[in-house]
This record gives sequence, structure tokens and C-alpha cells, in this order.
Amino acid sequence: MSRRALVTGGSSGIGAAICRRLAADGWTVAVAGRSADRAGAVADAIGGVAIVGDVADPTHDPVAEAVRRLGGLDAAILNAGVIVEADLAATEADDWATLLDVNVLAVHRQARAARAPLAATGGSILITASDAGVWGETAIAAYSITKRMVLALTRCLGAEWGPDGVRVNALCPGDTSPGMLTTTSGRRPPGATDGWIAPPLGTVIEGDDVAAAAAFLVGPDARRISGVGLLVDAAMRASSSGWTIHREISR
Amino acid sequence: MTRLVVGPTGALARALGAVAPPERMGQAVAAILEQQPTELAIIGTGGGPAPLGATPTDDLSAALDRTVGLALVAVKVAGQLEHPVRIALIAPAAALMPDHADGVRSVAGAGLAMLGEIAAATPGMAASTVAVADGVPPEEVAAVVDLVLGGTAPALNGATIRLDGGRDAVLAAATRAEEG
Repeated sequence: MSRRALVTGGSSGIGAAICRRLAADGWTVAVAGRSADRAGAVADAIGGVAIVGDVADPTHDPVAEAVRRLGGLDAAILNAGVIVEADLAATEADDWATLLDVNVLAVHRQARAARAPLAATGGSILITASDAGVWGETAIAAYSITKRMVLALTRCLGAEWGPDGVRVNALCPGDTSPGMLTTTSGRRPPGATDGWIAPPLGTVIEGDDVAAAAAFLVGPDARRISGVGLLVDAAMRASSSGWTIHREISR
Repeated sequence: MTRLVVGPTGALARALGAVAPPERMGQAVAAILEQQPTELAIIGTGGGPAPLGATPTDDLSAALDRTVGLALVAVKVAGQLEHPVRIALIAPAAALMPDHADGVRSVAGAGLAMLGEIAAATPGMAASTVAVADGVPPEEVAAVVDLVLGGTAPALNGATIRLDGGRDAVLAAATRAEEG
């Protein structure tokens, strides 16, 4: 039987790349997103199902819907997130509330919902954190804080639910195209990578690069890996001056 | 030098020099604007051990509001003052090493530590986090906070200082100490 995955935030950017990769690997995927059109388009393209709703809405339960429609769950990929480009001084109370709701509390709520279904199948949770949670950035101050928090959540749940056989891991992508920098409305023109700081490898990280790491972490080769946050950042966070190596990004 | 303590009333607040510190966001904002502190100590160690899986999300939300949310607002307002401010964030020990049995405070501590790192890189501020294990005497915490706030070590900025007697220095150090 095909393995079954839920991907929140699956209708664009890194989430859509993960959906496509898992489908190519033989998974049946529930694509969750706020836009029925976008989630439906991704789901149609990969032979999956679409789940429409806002992860920040406590009454929305994408995990239960995925379990019902797929007949069970082998991976819950909690990828939905929001970013606010603001330093501490410019961070408004509403911004903080939204970041906390989506990046931390929704992840907690959905992870708890996924625990029992995943324990039944020996499945795993994969959370999309960020390299900004490993080493913060003042320009996205509150976002960095929420991502550090969700990395702590990952480690705690990895230990807490290990006895149930449920693995919990996180990905920490660097600037990714397409990703938050290119799909968040108003932040950058779609697809544009101008102005990005190049990582030591000198190349843009593609959504497919992050999806490959996701496929590994939810797959059988990672069966002894839990409680980790895997950087996919082309060495950006490997050295305090690593970002000075390249001035321009090449593909 | 004017010191303001923000956070719950208790032995730690008293050791830091405050009898009834502002512990709600609105109170904290008003006190910072009124007192114009040059030193700000924010206590974010509240609550007891609780694993995340057993904690309803609403309870996690409330715990984070009382700690990270309060601290974020206080630091932001302190950043609006017209003079430099030194900040000490007092966090649970799990800020550095998450503990699944203490998951709620681990998440809060992680947020406080990152807030300290961000604040440290913000013009007009110097900030570090003191990660305190349960049972550490308040006077000992106050001594480390004095170091962070005092300005005698100006290069101390953006650090998270673990104050746990070495409990989390290596795997199972506490267990070995109990056996010894």
C-alpha cells in the first residue's frame, strides 16, 4: 500500500515541492492550504487530495481530515508558516500574534493530533523550521524567535514520543526559491532572487533541494533519526563569516 | 543607573531588587516609559515542568504570552528609549538544552534566548540570557544578572549563560551526581 502524507502549506513554495517529490516517490499526498484553487491545482497534478483551511484556525483539523480521506497517515509534514519582515522595533503586536499562532501553536496543535495516527503506522512528523531559528536575523526578528521555539518543540516531542515509535524532525532551510522570500505576497517579485546573500556553495537553494531532504527524513532510511533540525542552507550557518565568500548567487 | 524588573512577584524579583514588579504587558510598558531604566531584568522562568504532548495548545499559548510575549514587548519598548539599555533575560535552564519533561518551558526558554540574541544585535541595546535551573538560589541568579547588567564586561552581549551547577554540561550529569 502506498504511504500517506499530509503536507500543510502544500500549495506553494517548499510545501508544493515536497508534495511533488513525495508523489514521485510513490506517496499519496494530502495537500493542505488556504487557497482551494492552489491546493487543488497541486493535488490534481500529483494525484493527491486537497484540504482547504487555515492552520491558525483552531477549529480546522487537517490531520483528522487527512486520516479520514487517506485511510491513515504515515507522515505529517507541518510546513505552513508565515514571515514578517520587521526588526524588533517595527514588530507590531498583531504580527507577533500571527507568527506565534501559525509558526508555533498550530504546529503544536497538529503534532498532537497526529501523534496517535502516526503511532499506529510507525510514522513521523516533519516540521519546517528555518535557518533563522538556528542563527537569528534582526531583519526578521520575531520570525527568528518563533523558529527557535519550534526547534525546541521538535527536540522535546522527538524525545517525548520516541517510546511510541513516532519520530519528530525539522528542516531548517536557508533562502529558498521558490520559498517564503519569493512567494510571500509583497516581499519579493515572484521568482526573484536579486539581493540575496549567497551561501558558501554559491548557489540558490531550490525547493526541490529541501524536498529531497524531506523525503529522506520521512523515509525508512531515517528510521533512527529523530529530534533533529537539519540545515539545508548550503553552509550559510556553518561559519560566522561564511556569507562573505560569494558576492553573487549563481544557479 | 535605574534598574527595572519585569515579571512575576516572588523571591527572584526580590533578590533582583523589586517587591512588586510589573508582570502584565500594559504594566510593563507603562513602567518602562515612566522609569526610563538603563537596566532591565525580565523574569521569564514562570510555571512548572510540563511535557508538550500533554499540554493543550491553549495552555502553551498562555505560558508563552506570560514569558516570551511579555519579554518581547518589554524589549521593544526599551529599545525606544533615548539612552542605551542593558537587558538580562532570565529564562528556564531548558533555554539551552531542551528537556521533554519540561517541554513548555523549553519552548519558552528557546524563545527568550533568541530574543536576547536579536536584542544584542539591535542598536542601543546589550542583552544576554541567564538560563536558570530550578533550585538555584535567587541571590545567585541576582549575582549573575548584576554581571550582565553592570557593564563591567561590555563584551558580554548576546550570550546565554547556563546557571545549573553543571547539570546539563554532559549527558546524565545529574544522574551521576546523585549516584555519587
